[in-house]
Amino acid sequence: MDTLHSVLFYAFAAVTVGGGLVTSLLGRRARALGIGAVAFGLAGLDADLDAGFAAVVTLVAVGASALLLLGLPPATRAAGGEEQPAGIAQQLGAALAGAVLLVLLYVAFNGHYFGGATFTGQFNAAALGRLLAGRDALALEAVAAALLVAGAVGGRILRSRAR
Amino acid sequence: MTVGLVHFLFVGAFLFAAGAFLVARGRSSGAALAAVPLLLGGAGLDLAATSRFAASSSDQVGGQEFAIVVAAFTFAFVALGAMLARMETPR
Repeated sequence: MDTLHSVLFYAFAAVTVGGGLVTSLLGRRARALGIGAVAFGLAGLDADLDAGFAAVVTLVAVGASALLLLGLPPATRAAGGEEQPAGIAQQLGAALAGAVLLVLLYVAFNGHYFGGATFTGQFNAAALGRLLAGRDALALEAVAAALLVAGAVGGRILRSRAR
Repeated sequence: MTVGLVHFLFVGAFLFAAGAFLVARGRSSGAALAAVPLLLGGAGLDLAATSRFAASSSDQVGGQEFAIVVAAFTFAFVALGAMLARMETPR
């Protein structure tokens, strides 16, 4: 990658990492803002990878997720009492998350990757459309069906609770 | 300094670990919901980066395709979780 791409990578990576830190460390009020920063940073990183269509989809999906989290009622967000000190299980889980990070960094740094020629353009919408609606149409249908079933079950639960 | 696949994998690994940390340490449904975009966002970034740098020439945008599917799953999970959490809120 040239200098411009490198500068863009470091800028968007800083936004993404900062958003992740805000989301995971600060209180519930800052979480939606952190997710929004992660959405912006991830979209920028995808665009830096010449994956413009994936960047747009990521920005819309993760940004909408941030708005949904922002709209959660305060009673739900405080339902678990996060202000209480974490117990042994929570501390152990947090330590395991740190171990996961170390393992992932080790694998990423020491992995051997095949460097193929992959440049296909800036936005890739046509190539992705051919894949999604052509070669992988059955897998896409399966994913869409799973999402529809999840939505239908959720709607059914909503309706039964409302009665 | 040239940016390569490892740099993107580092960012993705950090996001995934931050999500795992939030799931492990958070005690509310809001924390678990907020961890979903971190976990899946890190995975999606790694998929797109692998597609850009290390995919075979016969499947150049396959990783981007999976990244799009993962992003759609992210929104679906959060929407469903937010709906269930809103239902459990006493009026």
